[in-house]
Amino acid sequence: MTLPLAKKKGLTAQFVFRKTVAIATFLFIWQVFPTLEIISPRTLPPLSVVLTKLWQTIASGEMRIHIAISLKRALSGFSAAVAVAIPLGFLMVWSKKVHQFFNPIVQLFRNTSSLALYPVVLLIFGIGETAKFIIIFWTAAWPLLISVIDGVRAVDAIYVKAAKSMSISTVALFFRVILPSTIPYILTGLRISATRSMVALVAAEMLGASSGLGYLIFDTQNKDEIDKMYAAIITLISIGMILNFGLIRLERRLTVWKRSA
Amino acid sequence: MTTDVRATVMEGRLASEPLKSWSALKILQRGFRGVGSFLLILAIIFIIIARWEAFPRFGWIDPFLLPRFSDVVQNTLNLFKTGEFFKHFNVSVVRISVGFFGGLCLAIPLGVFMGWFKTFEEYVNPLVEACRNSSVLTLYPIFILLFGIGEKAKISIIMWGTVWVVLLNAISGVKNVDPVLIKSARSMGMRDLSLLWRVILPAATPSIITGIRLGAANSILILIAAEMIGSNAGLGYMIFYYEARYAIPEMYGGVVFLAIMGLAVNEALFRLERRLTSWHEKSIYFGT
Repeated sequence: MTLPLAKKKGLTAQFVFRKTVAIATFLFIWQVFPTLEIISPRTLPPLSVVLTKLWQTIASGEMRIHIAISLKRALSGFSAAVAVAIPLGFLMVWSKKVHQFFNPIVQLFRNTSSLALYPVVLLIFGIGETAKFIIIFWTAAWPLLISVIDGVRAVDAIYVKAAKSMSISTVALFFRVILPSTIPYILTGLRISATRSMVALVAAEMLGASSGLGYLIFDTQNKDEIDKMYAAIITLISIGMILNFGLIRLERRLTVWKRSA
Repeated sequence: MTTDVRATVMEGRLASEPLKSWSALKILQRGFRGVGSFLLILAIIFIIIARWEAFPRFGWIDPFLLPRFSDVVQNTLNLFKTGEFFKHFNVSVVRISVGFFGGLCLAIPLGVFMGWFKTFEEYVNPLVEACRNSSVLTLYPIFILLFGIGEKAKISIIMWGTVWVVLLNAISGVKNVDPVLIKSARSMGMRDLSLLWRVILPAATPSIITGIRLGAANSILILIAAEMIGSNAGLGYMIFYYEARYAIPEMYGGVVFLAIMGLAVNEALFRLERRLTSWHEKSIYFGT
């Protein structure tokens, strides 16, 4: 009993080392190279300077305002996409005819870069919050819609037939068979659309906004406040990673039944 | 880890589910039912265009916001004639091809290398994951800072957007080659180099191509964003420019062209995939 435990413990130390050494090296280089002026500190300030600046902007409350606005935009667009795209996806594969009817449109838009439509959105909704909401919503909705459609179509026909042979009602078939087997697809779709909505958020904030993290990054770059720019970039990347990590955790939790089987 | 691999495979499918229903040849092969669905698609496209023409014409939609389809076509043809369009098109094509193919040239060999030397890969993996997960556009100002506002910054940001996806897919492709294949090749006395060339590379091809398709989708997205944010030429700039000048039909022409371009790139890569993996139907996708 002791032996595997010890072995496991040894493994974790090694595991931690392996997982951190590359990033630690990266951070080390970030600190040392600008300090020794191998890289000009004007293009890349040392890590410590950036972190101090980050702390200052957080403490002064300036960063908090931008974070709040960005999060609000991203989350409202993203959750609206979740609320619309998931049910819509299920409806679109309700029957073969319905699916055939919608398929060409879905195929066309999944391949259209959402940012190409941003000028159209700006034209229709103006430069305000609505345009940002719409473009994030649009970007996030397609991966979700497609993953729901793919998920439903990948449900093992045997399950459906077995359930039907036991004369299950349509509602029960949906909730007890189709929905559970679609969930892994939906979760993958959620992660992809979360990533893409971050891209859309940054693009929208860089193209005509007066607040938000994307704006802050671009504005500080123009004003040559480079350390602040890096602080904003770190914040934005961390938010993206936390979101991604949270969704991975959710995915693991909700698909336990799949792993054990 | 497994969820990540699945996510990338899934993402590949999302970026470009085979456009079966669009390729006429395949439909003919499928016979009558296929012809039916082909006609259905034509009918749907026709309906969309007809509505696009009718709604502004009858004033159901403000023709300023959505000009008539015929106007869009006419104005876009005008752009073709004056050569204005091709000026932007060429700039975009140069940017995207240098960035995208440059990214491929870097990422595929490196990915195969990292998949081969697993220990090295294990150490570097967290950094690669971090780079891949950090939103590309966020880094664009850094690239501008490093390379100025010129072509270099745009090409390198496109490259950045391509590299990580392709790299991760190449690594997982090489790592997940069926060990039985490797063992049997070894037992027949195959040496490292030919093992790599004749067994591992072909077996990793489907995964690499998934990465390429994803990378292509990413690089188009980034190209447009980079051209919108700080540029004076290129298709992304063109759309934005016409929007700002209220040359709305021209703007729609650009958008439609970009949509068609996305479809074409996707279809081309899908065909490439089918050709390169004809011996390897399905098994790598969704074994899970």
